[in-house]
Formats: sequence, structure tokens, C-alpha cells
Amino acid sequence: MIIELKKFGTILNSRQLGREAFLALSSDLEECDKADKIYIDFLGVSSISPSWADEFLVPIFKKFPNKVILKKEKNSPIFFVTNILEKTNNIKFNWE
Amino acid sequence: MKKELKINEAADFLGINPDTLRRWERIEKIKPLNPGVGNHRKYDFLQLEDFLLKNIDYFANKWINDDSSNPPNNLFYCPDSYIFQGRIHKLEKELKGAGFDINLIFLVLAVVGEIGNNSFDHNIGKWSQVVGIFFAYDLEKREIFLIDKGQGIFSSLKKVIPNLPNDFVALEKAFTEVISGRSPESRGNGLKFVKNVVIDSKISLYFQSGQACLILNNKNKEVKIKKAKKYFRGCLAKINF
Repeated sequence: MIIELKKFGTILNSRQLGREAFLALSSDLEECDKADKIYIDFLGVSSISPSWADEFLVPIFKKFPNKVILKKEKNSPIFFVTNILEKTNNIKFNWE
Repeated sequence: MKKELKINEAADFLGINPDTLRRWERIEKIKPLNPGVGNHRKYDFLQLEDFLLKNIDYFANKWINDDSSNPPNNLFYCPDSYIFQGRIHKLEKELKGAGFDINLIFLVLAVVGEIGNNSFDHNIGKWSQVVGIFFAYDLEKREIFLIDKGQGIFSSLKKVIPNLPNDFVALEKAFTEVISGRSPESRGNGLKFVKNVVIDSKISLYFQSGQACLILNNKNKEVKIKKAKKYFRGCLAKINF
């Protein structure tokens, strides 16, 4: 299963929008449950802030820690965001 | 808005005194359509807008020093986070149109988003003077201003760290200490992210809250809190990139 973040917008940057995105995904949680792997695709996204990701990426990862895999864009500065999330939430994301 | 404004209307639009506008005419800073005809001067609205956008530092400072509850000019004013989000999209479009590197755009937008949304998140129901933020940018000067007249970092952090002594310690903690599970709020680490980005990129940041300020960039990687030249209760961020 692939979650394309661009479907939530090109600039993902507030807690409020992150929460709304996660709520929108709730209807797909059954599908997530059945999937072997859940790939998070950043392609087409111009920017993400840790506030948005803290409300979206972290809860998905915590729900499916062994399934969620982040697809890394070449040279993307996304690691600035994931580093702070890993520190503050004491987690370690899986990368493709 | 009318295409041509009388001197009083033009001064109101810019938030300045008509005498200032006359003085600027004498030093050729801004010209009316029909110079030197007393109070019958007419100003081109688009020219005034352009003047605002090319002098964001002047208008940022002017708003900072304005003790009234007047909001800034509508061009710079984001009264809520939805309007702020819309303006960030405009910035994204302009940065891409100007050919900036996509990774720099990613980081600039993330830093701007984090600082601007912090203002809204931390001041809900707590704005001290004006609800909302001043958000302006000049891509030629590579400069962005984000200013709120909210409660400031010290008051905001003191709710979760009651023994916090002052602005200086508050600003240092905000930029350095990772706070996990910050009860009762699930926020508080955005400025650490901003610091990490700024010290490892081409972005430079001046940040002030209350009496405390700091400068961070790839040559000033340590958080060194200094005393600001002038007290400002809310938060003021100047970003260069």
C-alpha cells in the first residue's frame, strides 16, 4: 500500500492540517491493517514541517511500526523533519 | 480600492502621516502622479502597493513600534492560519517562479510554516494586542518577516515550565531543549527544528521575544541569547536565505 502525501497538499505545515490529514486516512486504516507494507511517498510535496508530520507520520508509524516505510526522495531535506520527530518521540523510522 | 488615491487616502493606506508622504516626495522616495499641487496630489494605487512590498523592513519596524491595536496593511496581515496558509502557497509559487533551488524552497517553507503556525498555535485566545501575524517577504532581498503581537515565548513556556525565570532562559530552552510529551500541549519542538535547519543550510535567522534575541546561521551554530536593543512582547523573526 502506498500513501501519496501529495494528495494531502503540496505544503504540509501545521498541526491542524496534520490532524485533518490523519482523520481523513482513518477510513483507510482497515486497508492499512491488511497491507504487508505501508509506503509513505513524499514525491510532489514541496515542503513538510515537523508539526504536520508529528500529527500524521508519527501516529501512523506508532500504529504500524513494522509496516511503515518512508520512501526517500533523492537529496530531499526530509531528514531534517524525521530527525527531530525521532528524537522527540523516541522512535526510528524505516526507510526504503 | 480606487486606482488613484488622494494624499490622505494614500497616507492611510501606507499607515503613515501625510507629511511623511510629502517629505518622501521631496527626497524622491515616492512620487505622486501630479507632483507639487498641494493637497490635490494623486497617487497610483499599484505604485503604493509596490512601494509597500519593496520596503517590508520599514513597514515591519513601523508595525513593531506601533503601540495601538491596529493590524498591519492587508498585504502583510494574516488574521488567521487559513490566510497564512494561502500566503505560504503564494510564496511557494513565487520562489519556484524565481528559480530557487527546490531543497532550499523546502526548507524555507518549512521554517516559515513552523514559525508562523507557532504564533497561531501558542496564542489562541491569548493575543495581547492584534489577532494574527505580520507576514511579508522580498525575494530580491531574500528576506522574510514573521511578527506576532502575542504573549511571547516566556509566557507561553511558563505554562508548562512554571519556574522559568525570564525571557532569556525561555528563548534558550525553546531553541535547545527537546521537550517530549509536553503536557498539556502536544507541541513545542518546532524551534529546535528551525535551529537544526538554519545552522546547516543557507538560511539565516534573527529571532526576538521580549528582551531576548538570537542570531543563527551556518557561522553562528550555537544558541547565544543576547539582550535585544528594544523590548518586544511578542515574537519577531527575520529570515534571510
